[in-house]
Amino acid sequence: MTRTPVDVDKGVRLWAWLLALVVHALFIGVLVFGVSWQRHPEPAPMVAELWADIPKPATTDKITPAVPVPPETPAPPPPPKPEPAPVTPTPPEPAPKIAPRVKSHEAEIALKEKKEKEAQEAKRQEIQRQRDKMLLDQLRQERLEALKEQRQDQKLRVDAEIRRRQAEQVAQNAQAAQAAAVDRYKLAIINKIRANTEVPEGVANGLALEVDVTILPDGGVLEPVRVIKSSGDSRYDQAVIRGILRSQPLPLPADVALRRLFRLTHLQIHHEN
Amino acid sequence: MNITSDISLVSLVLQASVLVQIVMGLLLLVSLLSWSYIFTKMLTLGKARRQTVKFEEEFWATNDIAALYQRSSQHGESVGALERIFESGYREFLRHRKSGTTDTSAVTSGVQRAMKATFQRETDQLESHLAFLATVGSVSPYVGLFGTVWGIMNAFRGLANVGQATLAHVAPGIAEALVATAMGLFAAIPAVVAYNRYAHDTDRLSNRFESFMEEFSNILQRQFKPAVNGR
Repeated sequence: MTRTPVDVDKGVRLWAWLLALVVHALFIGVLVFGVSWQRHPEPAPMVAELWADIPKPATTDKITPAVPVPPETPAPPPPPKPEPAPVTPTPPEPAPKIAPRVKSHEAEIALKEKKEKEAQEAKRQEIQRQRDKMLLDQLRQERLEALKEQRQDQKLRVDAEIRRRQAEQVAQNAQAAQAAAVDRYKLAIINKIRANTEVPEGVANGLALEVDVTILPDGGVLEPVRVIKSSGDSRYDQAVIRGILRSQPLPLPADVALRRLFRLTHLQIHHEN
Repeated sequence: MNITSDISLVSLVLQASVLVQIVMGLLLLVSLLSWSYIFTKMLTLGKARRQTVKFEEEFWATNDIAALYQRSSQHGESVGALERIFESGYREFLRHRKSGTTDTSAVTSGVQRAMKATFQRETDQLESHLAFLATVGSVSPYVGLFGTVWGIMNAFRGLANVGQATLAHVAPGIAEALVATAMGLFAAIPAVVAYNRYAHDTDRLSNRFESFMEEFSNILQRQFKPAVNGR
């Protein structure tokens, strides 16, 4: 007839085993991949300083898009490619024309080299400038976006704060209302107990007794009533406890949620003539 | 001993001596079991706690204990531990009332005995497997250590046959042996933590059950008096 406790059901057990397997898979995974078990042959040091001394436009162009952080810069890089090409080839052209007539062959070569060097220098500077500009633009853009985001964040935060405060206010109001109701019913309970207490003669005025009463949902009182702080006069204490038992059922709120708060009620009862 | 440059975990375990392999297998099995118990307990204790809180709330909110009894006895298997304790106590109380006993103390002690029996069954159920976790927590580090010591012994014995001994000769053996300790600790640490946690949880739950039993038998005693006086 008596029901035995149900053994752990199958679903729970299955879940538990699954989770246990997951934990072990994780552990073994950490062991296998987390610890570097292989003894690597010392890898040869790799140094990559490739483009700095070779100012060929092709290589620089290939590298430039990689150096800045361009998620949306595939468009800007193309301009540097065509631009230097038409500009730079032009200067060398007039030079050879004048040079052969006035100067010797060696001077011509020297001049040519110089010109070429200058042209390359100009090209490089141009590229550098463009890259700087691109970077600056990007930076500006990023900062703008960050500012915008910040502003949005702030707005959201303020909104959330306002909402939170409102919710708090509502909760506080509800709590205050509940506390007021509890106080009202406590007063009613104490009044009923006072009415039912026959204070023996000779009890001093101003005595106070503190008790914890377990109140059942129907207003009944569970014995024993626990005395938390005696009034100092045992006759008075006894009289009040008798009064409490005599005042059953105690007045309780009809609301179930509110009534639950009275399960263990702390009461303080004064003696006044 | 063949010294390879590749000492992956798998090859380490496979190359270990039979005894160390047995120890490792045992530890893995124990660890699997203890983890499955950890999760089982986690789920069942959580459920028990929720059911207890829910039933306590219901119990203290209702005026009509008889209706609560009706409902919970119809619910069948889905009721929580506290509800079963309540049921057994109330069933005993009803039986006494039917038989027309007027002895209040006999009724009270009978109700208390009935509830006590159910309570003990329930706490027993809550505490099941905890002993296993405690054992795993205290024993598995030693088992792992045993495997390690054995493995290292073998590694050093192999060293005796080599004329010029280097660290490279023993390193794989020691690494392989230490895997056993790692496994022992991996089994032990969660088991100890879980044991302490769940022992505390079951203690709290059974305290709750006990205080409920006290209060409930008081309530029944009060209910019995008017019934007797009414006759």
